[in-house]
Amino acid sequence: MELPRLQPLYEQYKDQGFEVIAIEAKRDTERATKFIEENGLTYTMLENAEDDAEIVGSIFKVRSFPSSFLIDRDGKVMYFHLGFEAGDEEHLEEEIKTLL
Amino acid sequence: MFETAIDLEEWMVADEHSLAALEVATPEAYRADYPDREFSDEDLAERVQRRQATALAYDGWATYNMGDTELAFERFAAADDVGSVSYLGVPNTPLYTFWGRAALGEGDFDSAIEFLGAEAAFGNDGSGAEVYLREAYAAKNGDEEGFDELLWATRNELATTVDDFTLLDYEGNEISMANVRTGKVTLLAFWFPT
Repeated sequence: MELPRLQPLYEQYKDQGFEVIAIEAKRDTERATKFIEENGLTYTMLENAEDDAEIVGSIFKVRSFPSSFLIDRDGKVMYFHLGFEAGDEEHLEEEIKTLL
Repeated sequence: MFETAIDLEEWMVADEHSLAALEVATPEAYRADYPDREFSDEDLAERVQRRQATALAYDGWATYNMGDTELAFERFAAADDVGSVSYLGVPNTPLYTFWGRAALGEGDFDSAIEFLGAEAAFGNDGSGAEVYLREAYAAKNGDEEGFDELLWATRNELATTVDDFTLLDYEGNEISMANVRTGKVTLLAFWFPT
């Protein structure tokens, strides 16, 4: 996911009950924190755990990045996106609106 | 043999892909592709399995386009048996797209809709599969009326309920997924800085 492109969506819809959780898979803390600050990202940013506790590959079986799941209010994963091309944020916005 | 071929070019391209995937479906080849990374035996086995399943999926599609329908569907079933599904329960190979297209070619619209529907909703090639899903739907029903409702119903039927987890944010706080997302619409994005 092009994370900076999620920031405007987050700001626009958060008051209607939209959240973004981004998980950095490789635990590159220094680069991640720098990236977050440079891009003014204010949504939930988490770091993958280490070894046996890691969840990205083991639970979510994510091998290609970026990957994202759009989850409805009941916790059901309703949309999946592999990669994030220019213009994908429009599709994403439509999908978010169907679930809000 | 060429007289019964359905599509020579699809056959040849799929055959190439199948051979290429099979060639690298070994632990040694996988490690060689990622020399700077370490994999546990279990993790490696799973990744190799995906390459095997990919090879079989392409092999099935090649076989179908060669004109041997019965063998093609056996290959698809074999690919399905090897496994390698995503978190959302859809193969992370082109299997469902190929299987669905072959079913469509045979006039089995219900099977086509089942495979292509799952791929369109949650597969790696969702938009690709959707094109063929529309075709299958229109072939079965006469037109595309109700197609959007079908896709929505498929999403609802096959949707996975997301697991809860707890991870640290960059201030050192433990954040529980359930706490953040309950009652909200949530985008869960996986990334790494490049």
